[in-house]
Amino acid sequence: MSAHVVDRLSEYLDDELVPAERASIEAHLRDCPDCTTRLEELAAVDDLARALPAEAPDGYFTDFSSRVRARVEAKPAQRAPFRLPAWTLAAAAAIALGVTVPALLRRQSLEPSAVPHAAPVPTQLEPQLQSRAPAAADAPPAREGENRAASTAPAPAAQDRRQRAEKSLAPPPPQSLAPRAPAVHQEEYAEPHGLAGGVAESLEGASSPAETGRDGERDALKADTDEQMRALGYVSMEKKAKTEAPGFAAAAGAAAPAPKRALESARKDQPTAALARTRFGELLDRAAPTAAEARALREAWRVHASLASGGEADEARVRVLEVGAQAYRLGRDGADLALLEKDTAAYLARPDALQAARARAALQSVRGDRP
Amino acid sequence: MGRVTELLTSEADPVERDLLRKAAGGNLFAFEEIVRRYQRRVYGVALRIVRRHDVADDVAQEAFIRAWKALDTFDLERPFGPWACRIAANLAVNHVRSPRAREEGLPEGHAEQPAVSQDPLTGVLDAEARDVLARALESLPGEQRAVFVLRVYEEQSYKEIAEGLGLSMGTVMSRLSRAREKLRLALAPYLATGALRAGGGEP
Repeated sequence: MSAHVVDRLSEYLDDELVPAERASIEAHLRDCPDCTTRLEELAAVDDLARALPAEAPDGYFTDFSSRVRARVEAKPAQRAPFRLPAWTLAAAAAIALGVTVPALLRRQSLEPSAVPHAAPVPTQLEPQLQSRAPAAADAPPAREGENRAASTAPAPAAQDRRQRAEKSLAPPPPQSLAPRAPAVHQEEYAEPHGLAGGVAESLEGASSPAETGRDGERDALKADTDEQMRALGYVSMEKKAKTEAPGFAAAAGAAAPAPKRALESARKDQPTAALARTRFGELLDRAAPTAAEARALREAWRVHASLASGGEADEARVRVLEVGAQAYRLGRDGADLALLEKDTAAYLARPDALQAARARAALQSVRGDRP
Repeated sequence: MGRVTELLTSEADPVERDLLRKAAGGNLFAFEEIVRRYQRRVYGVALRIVRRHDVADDVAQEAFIRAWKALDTFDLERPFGPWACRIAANLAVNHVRSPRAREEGLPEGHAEQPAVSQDPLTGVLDAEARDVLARALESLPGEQRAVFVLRVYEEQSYKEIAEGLGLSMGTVMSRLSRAREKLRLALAPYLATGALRAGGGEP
C-alpha cells in the first residue's frame, strides 16, 4: 500500500484528480488489493452516511418560508425590497392634484376675473394647495413626502364631511379602499398607526364633493367585505385562538393583540387595506384541520386576495387554491373540487400569475386522490 | 440531490429563473417560493453540521436571509440551491466553532437518530453500524463535518466548497480525506465483514 495513493483515494473517489494523477492511481489499484479494499470502504462510508436521515420535527416546514419572509420584512433597512416606489408618490401627488387643480379651475371658470373673493372653498385651503403642489412636482423621498402630507391639515369643509360621515355610520368605517394602494405600501414599513394613516386621512380630507358618490360606493363595498370577513375569517380564528394557545399565541407573536382586538383597533385606526394586511400574517399561521375550517380559510384568503395588491394578492390567490385542495381532501365534497378547478383555471389565466407551478400542484394534489 | 440533478432541474428551470429574477428585483413573494423549494435541503445541510434542530432552524433561516440580501450580486443563471447550501454550511461552521456551541453540547439525539426507514439499504446496514457512524460524525471537528456534508450530501465540487467556506482547495481535500479516514476507522469492524459494501466504489 502506497502512502501517496492512500492520501489521494478520497480525491479519486470524488473524481477531483487531473487525468495524469488519476491514471497513476488506477494503475496502482490494479496491483494493490489493500488500496482497492480501502477505496471500497471509503465509498461504503459515504453510502452509509447518505442513508442516515436528517429529519425535522413534523410540520416544521409548513410555515418555514413565511417565517423567513417575516424576518426579511422585519429588517427592511438593509435591502428595502418594498421601498415605496416612485410611482406611489406620483400617484399620491396625482390624487392631490386631481382634486385641487379642478377645484382651482372651477373657481377660475366661475369667476373670470380670477379674483379670489367669495370663494366657495375656504380661504385657508389655498396656502395648503400651494404648498402641496411643489411636493407633487418634486417627487420627494418617501419620508419627506409622508411628513409633508401628514402635517397638512385637512380642509375644514372636508373635515366636516368626514365628521358627519363618522357620526352617521356606526362603527366608523375604515377610510377608503381602491385609491388606497399607495397607503398600503407605505403601511409596510411605516409604523402601523403612524404616518401612513396621516397620509390617508389628509388625502381623504382633500377629496372634492364630486367624489362623495364614490365614497359611498366604497363604504358599501367595504361594509360587504367586513361582513364577509366576520363571517368567514374571524369567527373560526377567535375560536382557534382560544383552543390552540399557547402555540397559536406564540406564532402570532406575543406583542400581537388577540384577533378580535386587532380587528377592532384596525377598524378604528386603519384603512381597510391595512386591515387586510394585518390579517395576512395571521392567515398564514392558521391551520384548518376540518373541511369546514378549510373552506372558511379559503374564503378568507379570497377576500384577502381581493383587497391586497401585487405579490401579496398573488400569494393569497394561490393560498385559495391550496386551502381549497385541502378542503376537498378533508371533506371529499365534489363542490370543493369543482370550485378548485374553476379557481385554478382563473388563476392560471391571469397575466400576473406568479406561481403557476404551485397552482397546478395544488390541483394535481387532489386530482390524484379522486375517488 | 447531486450536481447532475441540479443542472437538469434548477439551472434549466425557467420558472425558477423567473422567480429568481423577480426576487432579485425585490419581490419577496417570489423569494418565498424559492425558499419553499430549497428549505429542506438547506435545513438538512445545517442540521448535519450543527446537529441540533433549534440551531439548524436558526442557521437555515439566516442562510435564506443572507441569500436574499446578496441576491442582487448572485448570478441568476446559476443554480440557487448549492449556493444557499454553502451559505448555510458557512454559518453552521461558524456556529460550531463558537463558544456558545460548546456550552450547548449535543442534544439528546434528535439529529440523525438511527431509525427504522424504508430505504433499500436497511436490510444491509444494521442499526448498530448506523449508530456508530452517527456518533463518529458527531465527533468530527465541525470544519471537517461541513466539508464532508457539502461533498457527500450535496455533491459539490472541491472548488465550490472552497469558495463557499473560504478555504483553499488543498484544505478542502485534506479535511475531507481526514474526515473519511476517521469515519472509516470507526466503522472498520462493520466494514471488514463486507456487509456494508453497498454501492460501488468506482467513481
